[in-house]
Amino acid sequence: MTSKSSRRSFLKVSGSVVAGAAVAGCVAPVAPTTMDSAGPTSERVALRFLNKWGSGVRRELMNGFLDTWAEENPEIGIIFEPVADFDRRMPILVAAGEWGDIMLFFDLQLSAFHEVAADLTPYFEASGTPFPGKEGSELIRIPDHVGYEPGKVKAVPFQLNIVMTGINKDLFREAGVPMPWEHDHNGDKWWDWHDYREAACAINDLGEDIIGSNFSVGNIEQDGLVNWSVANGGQLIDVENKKGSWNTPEFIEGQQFAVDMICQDGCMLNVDDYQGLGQALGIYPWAAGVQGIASRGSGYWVSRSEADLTQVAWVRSPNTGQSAGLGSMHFHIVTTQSQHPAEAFEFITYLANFENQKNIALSGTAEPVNAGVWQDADYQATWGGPEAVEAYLDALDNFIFTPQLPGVLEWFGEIKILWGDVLRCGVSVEEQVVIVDQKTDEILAAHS
Amino acid sequence: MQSPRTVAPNISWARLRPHIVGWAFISPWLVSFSFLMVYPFIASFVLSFTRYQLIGEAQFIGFENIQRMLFEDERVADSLRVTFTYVLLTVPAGTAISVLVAILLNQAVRGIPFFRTSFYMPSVIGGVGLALLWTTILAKNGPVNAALGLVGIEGPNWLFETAWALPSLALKALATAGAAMLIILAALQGVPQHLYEAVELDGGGEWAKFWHVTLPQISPAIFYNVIVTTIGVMQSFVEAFIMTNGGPGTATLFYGLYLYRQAFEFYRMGYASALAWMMFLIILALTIINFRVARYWVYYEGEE
Repeated sequence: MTSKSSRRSFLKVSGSVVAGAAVAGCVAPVAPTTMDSAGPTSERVALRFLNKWGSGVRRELMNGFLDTWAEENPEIGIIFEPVADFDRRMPILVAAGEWGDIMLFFDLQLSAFHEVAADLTPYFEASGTPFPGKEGSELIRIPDHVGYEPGKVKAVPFQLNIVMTGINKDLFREAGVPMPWEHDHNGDKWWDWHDYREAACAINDLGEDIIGSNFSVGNIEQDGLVNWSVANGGQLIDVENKKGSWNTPEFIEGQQFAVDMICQDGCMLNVDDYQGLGQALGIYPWAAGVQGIASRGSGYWVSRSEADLTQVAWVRSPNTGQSAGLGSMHFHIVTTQSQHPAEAFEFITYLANFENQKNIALSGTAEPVNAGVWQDADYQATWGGPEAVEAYLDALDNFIFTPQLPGVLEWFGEIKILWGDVLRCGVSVEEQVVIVDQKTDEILAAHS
Repeated sequence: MQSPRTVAPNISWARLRPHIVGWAFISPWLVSFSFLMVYPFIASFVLSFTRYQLIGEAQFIGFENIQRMLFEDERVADSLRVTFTYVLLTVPAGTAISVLVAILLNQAVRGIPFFRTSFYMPSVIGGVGLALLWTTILAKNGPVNAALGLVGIEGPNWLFETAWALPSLALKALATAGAAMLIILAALQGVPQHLYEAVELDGGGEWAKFWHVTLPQISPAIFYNVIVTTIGVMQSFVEAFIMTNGGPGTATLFYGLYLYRQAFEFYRMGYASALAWMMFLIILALTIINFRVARYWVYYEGEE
């Protein structure tokens, strides 16, 4: 009798424990803590640091940064957790509540996950560090509302990638067209759309296997044609009003010019041929007279090529005399879960200092976010000549950010599809900008 | 007045023991099934009525996701059109090819093990590796176009032309029908010889043997393949993800890829859950239809 009743009690109790555990397991992760101190504490702390630089040259660089930090800051330990397959795994870590103290995000992710990032304004102020890009700051500019929190700075930049324009000087000479820097615009040496078209079409005529312009990815990515419209005074999204902004004369004019080069002149590859044919010619990417260079790595490739190549400044709008190109940036954020935000802030500003950023720049893995490095002679020596130096500095001055709005990731995906129809010469620019704006409004409303 | 006698439950350790042992044995499966299948299943159903973007609380929004999916989001219609076209391109042709190849591989000729292995081999290679391999094969300057060039045909840009991208993926699927072939081959080897002898006695030829004996006898295996392949093809993802990323435009935007993008690229977990449930219902409906239609063409030995 006793044994039966105790068995029943046992079953009852164990059942309750299992049910309780199941319910407890379903409870959301521990709520993020808020920051209550703007100064570092004196006790030894350990910071979890999630970053993608976990292999190859980048890992070696990161190890060097961490070793130096450990020597100079023995009271602030860093637990480095490299995140492979970063683009996919970071969102999963965010969803799982595995935020650590410091995380790396690229700009579009930060728009989506801005709630993860702590407001760093008090730490900038407490340390007397100007906001990035502001007077006295050693860091380059960042989006106005990084992480989409108006009036707050929620991230410190870590690496920049800007698209460059490259030319094959051999093909320019063969076609008998002036080099980009040989065009004179009221005393200034730069090239505009018309100069670009002339060069691309002349090179295109050189032979069947030679492409005039391979600059076009044909969508809105970094080396896409949207840059032309932005240079002409258009904007990617009307951020203030959270609305579409393509149906404007400035935007349409820029797009129309580029689309005409594809659909009328045949001097530029369309969206599909860029991917399929460009590589198929076997001399990719330098089958083209003009070529977008989407990464720093490609820039290094330029220096090793047998062809006479160089980077040049982006083509400018004939109306505004301006150039523009999308840049992408990776940021370090201090998570709102961190118990040691002041120390974390100290570490991420350390990663952006001149010495570390120069090492990154010289390794060729990314462009630096430290403004001083851009003026550094050692770094400039890696660019390949005076035209390239001018081009890089032009790119630094004129790159534009992806709009910092929730929903912009989905917007990118959808616009690629919609604008692809135009770049396949199937729909007119005027018709499609209306649809693009409608879609933009829909997506931004759904995410607001 | 005598109080009613309380009857103690007749539970003894000896009677409980086999139950406990049984539950203990299946507990690893039960726990994993509960937490890895049932819980996500229910969670995704609940999430499909919410707006949930990975962080923060999920907000209940009623039928908004379903309304968007059915009436407002034209990409859903695009992706369903692509997916159904892909099913039509691959399932009937894939079934026919697997039957044909299985019949060929069922012949008593020299070196048959080599041929069987060769046809089955592509099914062993993982999805991503195979997709990458086919990307190379179908490249503009790849071996397929090189072969076409030998006979004076300029091959298209298979994966990057709107008209050719989906048929190219279907071609890849058809070339890897080895798993289905193996099942049909096993069924072929189980067809009783005396049935063929009966046809011969009746004066039937090869066609009669195939039509009246082989096909009915292997019809359950064909039916199984049709069901499994339809479900698999409806869920296609890897090919488009690796080879075309859904393009050009929406030419290869499979429903599974669109669902993935909503969840893991745009972080709209609520909407992605609603999409997943719609896919589940579509597959369920197709399976039921397949079973209903099966009674007209699938032959089971035990049935009248």
